[in-house]
Amino acid sequence: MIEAQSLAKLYDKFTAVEDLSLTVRPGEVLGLVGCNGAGKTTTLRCLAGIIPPTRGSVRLCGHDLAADPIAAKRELAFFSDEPRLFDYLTVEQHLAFVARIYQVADYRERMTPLLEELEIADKTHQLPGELSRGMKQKLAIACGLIHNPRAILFDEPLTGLDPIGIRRMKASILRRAQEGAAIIISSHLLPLLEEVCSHVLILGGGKVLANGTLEEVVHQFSGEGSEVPPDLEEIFFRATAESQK
Amino acid sequence: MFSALFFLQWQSFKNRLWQRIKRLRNPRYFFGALIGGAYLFSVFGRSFYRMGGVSRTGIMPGVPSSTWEFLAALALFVVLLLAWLIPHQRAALVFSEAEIAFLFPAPVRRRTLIHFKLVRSQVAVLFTVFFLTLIARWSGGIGGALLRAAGLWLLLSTINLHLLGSSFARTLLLERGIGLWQRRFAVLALAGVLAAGAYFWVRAEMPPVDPSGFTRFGQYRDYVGQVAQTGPAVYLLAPFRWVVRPFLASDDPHAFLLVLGPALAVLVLHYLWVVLSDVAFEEASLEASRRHVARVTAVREGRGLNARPHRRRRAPFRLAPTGPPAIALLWKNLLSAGQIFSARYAIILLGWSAFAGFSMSHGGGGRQHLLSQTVAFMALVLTGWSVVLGPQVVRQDFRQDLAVADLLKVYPLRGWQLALGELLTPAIILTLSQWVLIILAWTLWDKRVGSEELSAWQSQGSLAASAAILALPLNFVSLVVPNAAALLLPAWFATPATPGASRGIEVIGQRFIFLIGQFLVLLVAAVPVALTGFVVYILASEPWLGQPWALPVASAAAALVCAAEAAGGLLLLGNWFEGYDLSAEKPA
Repeated sequence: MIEAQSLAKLYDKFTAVEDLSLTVRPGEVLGLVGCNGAGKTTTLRCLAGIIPPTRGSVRLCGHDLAADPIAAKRELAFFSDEPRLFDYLTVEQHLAFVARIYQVADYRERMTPLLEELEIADKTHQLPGELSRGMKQKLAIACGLIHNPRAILFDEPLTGLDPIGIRRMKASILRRAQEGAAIIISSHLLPLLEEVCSHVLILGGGKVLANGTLEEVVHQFSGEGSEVPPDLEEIFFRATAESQK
Repeated sequence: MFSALFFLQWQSFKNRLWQRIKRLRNPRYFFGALIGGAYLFSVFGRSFYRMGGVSRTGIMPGVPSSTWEFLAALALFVVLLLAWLIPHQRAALVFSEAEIAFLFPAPVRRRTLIHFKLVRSQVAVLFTVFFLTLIARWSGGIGGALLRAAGLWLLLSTINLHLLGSSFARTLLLERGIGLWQRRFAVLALAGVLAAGAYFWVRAEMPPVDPSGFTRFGQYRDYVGQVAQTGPAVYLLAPFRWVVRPFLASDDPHAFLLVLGPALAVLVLHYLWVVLSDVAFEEASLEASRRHVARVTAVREGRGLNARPHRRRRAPFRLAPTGPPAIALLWKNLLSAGQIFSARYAIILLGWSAFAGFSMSHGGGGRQHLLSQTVAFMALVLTGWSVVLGPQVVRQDFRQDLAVADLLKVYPLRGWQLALGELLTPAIILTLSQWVLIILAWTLWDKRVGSEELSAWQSQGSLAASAAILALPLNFVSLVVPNAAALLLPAWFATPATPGASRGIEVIGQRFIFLIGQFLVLLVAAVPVALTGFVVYILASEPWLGQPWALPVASAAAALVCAAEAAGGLLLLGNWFEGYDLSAEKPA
């Protein structure tokens, strides 16, 4: 479970995120959408413990991120939009390193199916510099998933992936949600979110414009008497336009 | 079109400068700039003021200017000859990634791009001239210095144009099927013919000479002076003489003006040669720019100028999936440090140093004894140096990983665990290096004191063991300072995330402050360590252990105190990392 209560992040006088509260239960996938500069990445980085929130609290799988960061982070995987890798470690060495950090005793057994699922099983001895952008993304994902996290944060997870990679990634996200993980995905690819997300949170200027299940948000922004429910893209435009009024 | 490129240059320069000035509002940059400025003034400013007061004739009194001219022209000839011999790549103008993205697909003529690069290279040439003028304290007061600077600008600009022109010519030769070795052979053959011709001409013109009869420097100088005045040198090196003359003749404004014409003519000819060359350099430029970016990244990552891509390396040891997580960081950073830092290599190195030391100290006569004493002395100096300055060189710690601080922040580790893991690698590398040096110094140091030889082995061995015991905790303490600075003042450190942070006058000042800070912390930390060691030594020496054994025991006690200090430092570093707010540190 991922919970944030009255989260706020200020940079000097600029408010990046204001009074954000959310709850993502096991099995739920929350799509975080918003324009550029809406505060999506800041929110995710606060939830991951990378930057401290100015106000508010975060709980991951019941552990308060500020009070018990180690227990909270053991349950967490965070994937940034740019894969963060060590240039001098091979694919296999990356996994060995992360396994030791997270104390994954059986990482060798987990590694092979994970790499096969991500289609980089034949790259185990290659360095990041020898991998394409998409392969690097897959390696970062493998590193994040090797310890079976129960709270997963994706920031633009499909950047650089090919169509097959995108399809597999979507299936992987849904499977992990079915297995009980709480997932937040930040993306501008609204059709993707529509496919995989059970919940949506729309951010605008650091404030929550809409938050709820996909159906609830659709209902909130449906026009009077419209027969065909609007898609997420239309909802996004309506929500952001409303906030700008 | 050129005006657009000039706009790009000028605005980039202006914005960069303005950004630097703006960041001086931050006190740490302001004080850095203040101290850096004071340092630069103490080094260069004084020589600038002395320019007006010092009056000397010629570059080195006693050597005729014609000899200097000959030697300078010869040196220039060799430099330009190498430009035709050594390079093996096609002509490549190095552009930044953004310049390539914007300019290569744009409707810009190749000649305009060349002009753009020439203007930019002039910035570097002018900076070099300014810098050398400041430090060189040339004769003739400010006027003489300005003339000398003008002469130097002509010389450097001509060299710059020639290097560019020769790279274009090499590419044209390649396009016409004349390969690398064919070109090298032709150039060498031509140079050989010229050298042989000059040699026989000198032999024919000059009286026979026996160099073994020369006993004074003056005789060499006079002979070179004579060669400089003889036919082949005068004719063959004529264009090169024209180029160096303004620089050498700048003591006298009248003489300077007289020699300016031919030098300018050579410069203009070079310019025409370059801009009229129609060589496709774009593809090679892409590759050159990629290498340039790799070099910049290497410098920012603390890999010096080692721009080679990372290679697959064998792990220093097998990393078990469970156990202290800090070891994972040690393992990772050792991998980053390179193949040589594995347990196997460390044992081999330590064994080799012991073997080499014993072999050298037990062999040969006086000359070998002198050599072994010199090596031993150097080993001692290097050991001391490595304690203070080693942490500035070995940087496989927070300073390297600051660029991936967001990744480290997500790991389920306490701050102190991260700090321990990060500092382990440089501490171990430094300690092993110091052990090698200590072994060398101990085995090589003079022990020939007659019947007391065994005692000398013991007393020096006791000293060596004491130093070895103290090395690891001392290195930890020493490493705390630069790492603390990296965490508390991350914008001062060059990482890929902080472009531009590694340049500027304020950074010189900042580094100066770090060094002083490191000295101070080491001094303060040394007080309780030294006191403990002294007390334990006094207590242990006479009644119980005797001197040779008391010293390592005292050192062990001192090492415990030092380790406690290091542990305190690690806790502090850990707390600072936990409180390190990535969002508060934006690229400068």
